[in-house]
Amino acid sequence: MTAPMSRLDEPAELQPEQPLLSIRDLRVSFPAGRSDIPPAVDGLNLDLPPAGALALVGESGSGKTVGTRAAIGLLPPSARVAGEAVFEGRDLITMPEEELRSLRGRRIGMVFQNAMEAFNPTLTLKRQLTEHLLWHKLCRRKDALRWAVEAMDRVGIPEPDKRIRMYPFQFSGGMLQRAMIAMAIVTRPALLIADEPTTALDVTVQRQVLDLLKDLRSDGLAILMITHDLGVARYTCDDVLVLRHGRVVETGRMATFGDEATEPYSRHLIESAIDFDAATGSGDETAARASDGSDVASAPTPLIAASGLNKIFSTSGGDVHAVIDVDLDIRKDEAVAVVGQSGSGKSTLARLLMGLIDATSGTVCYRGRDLLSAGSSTMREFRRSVQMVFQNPYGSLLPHLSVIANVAEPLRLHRVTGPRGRTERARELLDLVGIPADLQEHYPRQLSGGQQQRVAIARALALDPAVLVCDEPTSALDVSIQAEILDLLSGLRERLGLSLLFVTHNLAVAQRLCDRIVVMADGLIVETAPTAELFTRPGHPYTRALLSAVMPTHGDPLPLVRRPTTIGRGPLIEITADDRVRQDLEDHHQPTAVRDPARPARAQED
Amino acid sequence: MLRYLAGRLVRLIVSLIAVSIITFILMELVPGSYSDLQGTDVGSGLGGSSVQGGAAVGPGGHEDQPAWQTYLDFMKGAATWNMPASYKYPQLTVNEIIEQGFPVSLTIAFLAMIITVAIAIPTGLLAAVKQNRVLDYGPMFLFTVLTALPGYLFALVLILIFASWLRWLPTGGWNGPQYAVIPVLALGLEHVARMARFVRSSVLESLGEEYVVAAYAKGATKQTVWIGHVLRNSLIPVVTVAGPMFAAMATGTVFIEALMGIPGLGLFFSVAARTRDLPLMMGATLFFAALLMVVNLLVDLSYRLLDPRIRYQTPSASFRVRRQARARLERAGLERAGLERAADHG
Amino acid sequence: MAESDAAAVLDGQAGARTAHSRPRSELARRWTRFTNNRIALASLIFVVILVLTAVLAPVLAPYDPTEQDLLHRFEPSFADPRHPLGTDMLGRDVLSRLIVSLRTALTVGFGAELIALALAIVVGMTAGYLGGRVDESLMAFTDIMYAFPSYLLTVILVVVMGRSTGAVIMAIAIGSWVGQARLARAQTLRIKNLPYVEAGRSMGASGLTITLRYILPNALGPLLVATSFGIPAAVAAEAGLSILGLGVAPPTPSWGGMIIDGYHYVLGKPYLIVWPLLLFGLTLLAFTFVGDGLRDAFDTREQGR
Repeated sequence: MTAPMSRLDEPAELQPEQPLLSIRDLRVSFPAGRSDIPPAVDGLNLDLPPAGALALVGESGSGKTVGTRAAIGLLPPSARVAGEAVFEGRDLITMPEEELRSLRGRRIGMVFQNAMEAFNPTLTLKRQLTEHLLWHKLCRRKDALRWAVEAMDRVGIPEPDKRIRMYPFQFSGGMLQRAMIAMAIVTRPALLIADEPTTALDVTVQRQVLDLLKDLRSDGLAILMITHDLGVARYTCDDVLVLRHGRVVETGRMATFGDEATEPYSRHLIESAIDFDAATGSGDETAARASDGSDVASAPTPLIAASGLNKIFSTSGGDVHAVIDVDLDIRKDEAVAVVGQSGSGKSTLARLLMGLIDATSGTVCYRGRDLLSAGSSTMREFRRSVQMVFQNPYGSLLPHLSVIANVAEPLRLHRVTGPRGRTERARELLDLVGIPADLQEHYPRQLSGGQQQRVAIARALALDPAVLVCDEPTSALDVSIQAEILDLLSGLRERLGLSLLFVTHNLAVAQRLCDRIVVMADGLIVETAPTAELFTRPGHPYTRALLSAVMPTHGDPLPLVRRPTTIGRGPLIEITADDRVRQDLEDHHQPTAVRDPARPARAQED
Repeated sequence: MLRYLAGRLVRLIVSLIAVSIITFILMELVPGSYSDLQGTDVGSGLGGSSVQGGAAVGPGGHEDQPAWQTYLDFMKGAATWNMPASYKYPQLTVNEIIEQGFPVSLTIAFLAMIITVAIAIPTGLLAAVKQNRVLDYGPMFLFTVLTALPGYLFALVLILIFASWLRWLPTGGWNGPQYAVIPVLALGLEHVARMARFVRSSVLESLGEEYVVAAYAKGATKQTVWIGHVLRNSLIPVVTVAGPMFAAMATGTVFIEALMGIPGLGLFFSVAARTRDLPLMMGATLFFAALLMVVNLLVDLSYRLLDPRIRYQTPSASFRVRRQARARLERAGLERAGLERAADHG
Repeated sequence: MAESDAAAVLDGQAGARTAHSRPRSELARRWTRFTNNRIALASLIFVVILVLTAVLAPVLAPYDPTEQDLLHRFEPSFADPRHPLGTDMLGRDVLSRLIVSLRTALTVGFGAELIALALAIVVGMTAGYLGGRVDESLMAFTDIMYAFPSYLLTVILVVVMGRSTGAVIMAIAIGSWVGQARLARAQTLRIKNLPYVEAGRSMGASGLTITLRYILPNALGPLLVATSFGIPAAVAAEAGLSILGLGVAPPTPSWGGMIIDGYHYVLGKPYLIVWPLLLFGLTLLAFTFVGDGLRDAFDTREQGR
């Protein structure tokens, strides 16, 4: 990142000690003609000093987005907004629209969660990064391009003068997010509202974007960050405010919040956040299971054994080599985590192991028998023995069957006992996972996400499987529910002696639950090690980059390790959400030394 | 782009040939030859003029020729725009009939299209802007009604009102501008609803996009957002609907023409169908099918020009990726050996 | 804390969701949504009345629709209590012809649509579920069918197969099944990629089980919508054929036939056209409103949280 940018206009005159933004008793509701709908925001109070950083933390439905948008008048006319939001000495709520409009984009910038959606796909970046400069008459037309390019450079985009003429879809996710930040700061605002700015990003890219935001504070930029992730909040901000159901639960200094927070909900959020323990290297649950490899070595035939697995997809954008030459074993009573970012191939691998997709080459063996050539009775046994829990809890349940019918379905398919036996067993399973009896006749749509996932787990257990394959089972759920589900899985594993294959992008979760961790990137297995060793003595540079990218809730993150540009001598390809493969040129750009103002500079590992 | 165009043209020609073969085979199956019927109208209803000295030939045109020969001759004629004479109007060749009749249909379709677009776009826009209020529900309800009803129904209603009751307009024929009023209105009414609804949903979709909020967050005025972002993005898809709609209009005037005795290609086609005039049926079918396909192709091409996302995805990119993937597979095998930890070899 | 306690406390965040005290199946939800739409409900009732009338047509019609009474031609509507809607150019009772034509219309409408739907489901779902070559070849086939302007193929088929009611039904069905096949295929593809289908496979369900027990119930909604739009389309197709002189052949009465016969006299005796046109239009509208109501009730955007 380059030197701070030149100023475009003079900042407003603020009294010393006066906060940049001060919100008092903000209430937002969407009555829609009815009186029984609770307000979305009920009494929000916050103070943000100039060049300060405040995190608004809350789960979905907490009102964090609605509140901030209400403050700058971005809500639809059906919203009723009351209260006070004083910015640079003037109240935004009562301000006439013309005046408010002149502040938006000029003194107050905003970045959104999904960069690809926040840009107009049919317009070039040049147009979208300069248009507001001209709307606010901040410079002459011929200078606008120069300011925009300077902003692009400030956020660390290589070759900004060339890139600015491109269209949004030609950028990778991380770079487009930076471009969005450039778009917000090109007018040199005093305040930047960042609404979940890194949630949609690869964890290794997330760190870089957050470092950028921290660096921008040295330009005098104040940051109001909305996030559900306490770790991200802690890394970037000085102060924190916890919201729940539109009400402020607690506020505090970020650095000490983990220890000093007193409200039950805050404590709950803090405790549910799953942090990994870099010191001892093993999470709380697995400390007792410290494996030294010898137990595993003497085990009999692995339950599932994959050898030389490859999978190539042909898509409209070309061939995607999703899984490259993978060997993986799962043994009895073993919990293996497959950790990787989106596009690493981990979900594809899980499906290959379950026989849901056919491999392009390589074998998958169940108890020593090759699945490809297996007879129907072997396949039936395999299907009973290996079950899957999916990422989308609602999507994985049959919507037209009741909860109990859903759980009984595998029993029905395999003709285990008659209808009454099935219902009884289903009830047992639902009790096991904590679904109360009065919900059992309901339909999936009527349950919450956490409950739906419990039902899905109950269903997966119906046939007494030996292996449970979990594909990101908690990433679609709220943070506090995640911990519950993980505890459930962990408990079930103990009780039933299950083996687990746990696919996740979250290293801390993997550490908590599993004995052995396999790290994947770009279709390759980059490293595999027992949990404790992976965390204390990571081998591959990619693993080290991954570990350093984690934002813990307690303590500081590890020093930044840049993600290697190549894995196995081919360039690292960032696969975007819709499976189009694009070269990520950003990794060839060498940023200058990362300065964290709070900590002394350290040499970077490479 | 050129490769895409070439590919589409090939598909178009193949489809046309398939259509022609299917049509020809069906023609061969038609019971009773033209000569059997001696030109009498097998259908009840209008315009049943008898033929003067009908050409006494069988379905194939030449009694002693094998069918495929007839087919090839016809296709050669079609490609060179030199088709055989019609049975019912032996003094005219099929292509001459098309040349005479199609401009009439085209005129009606063209005028109807103008009216449709002129009404649909503002109405759809207004409905989107005033979503869920009177100006949305009212027109949209009306449009639901309109989409349910076929064009000839509108023609009949208009005839009942303006011809039968008010006596302002004629009930049929083609002899001056007033003869075009009812057909054009009827055809327009048939399609305006669908386009208006599409405009509305396209605009609503654009309005809901995050980039609209982002633009407001940058300090845009409502006007700027609408003109610069919303309209631009929502009108591009409208083009993709407008093209095929026009083609549908141009080929869909049949019923109105048959009803009102308007000498467009549709009328000739319907007469040909009733009287088993096979060359004319064949020629008209091919003509309509070709028209539809060409219009669709043009619309696709223009869409590619308008939407930068499609414009920039060149085939060469995918080739590059494929090559890279293959190379990586080789190297990965070598690299991996050094990465596995001892503890994993169990 | 016991598992269920923890779950209850924290899932309380879901708010309204756990407030549902009674289980409500998807079907119940859809039905409620449908009946909330008053126009759709009224239209459904009207359609039921139409169907009953059509079934009971021979009983309800006061006269034989083909019975000519040349002494009492062109009686206007409301003039003679014996012929409430009047008589046509051959002295036939308009009301009776109207009622029996309703029967013809609905026979053709339901008949053609059901055949088209059956074809569409079989072809479309097979192509969607199996994918690969099967899908490609079926799609290539439908592409060619699509190349024909909508009515063209139907017209040609009537010329080939004749004008009996059965032939007209077949001709309309063959001309219209392609669009619905595409819809069936699209629905199958959409659902095929949903997690619960994958879950089904992972549980060991066979392809047939998945298609019939998982996919079909969930694809039914949009297919039902397509059907309720397809019926009026078929009815309109038959009327259109009549205008071209190729509809269901006399003596079977049909609205299209009545209109065409009456068109000669539109200037002097418009009532001959007004009644069939009115009933024809109302029938089309009724089915369309039901279709719209169904479409809102099955709105796929409503799925999930």
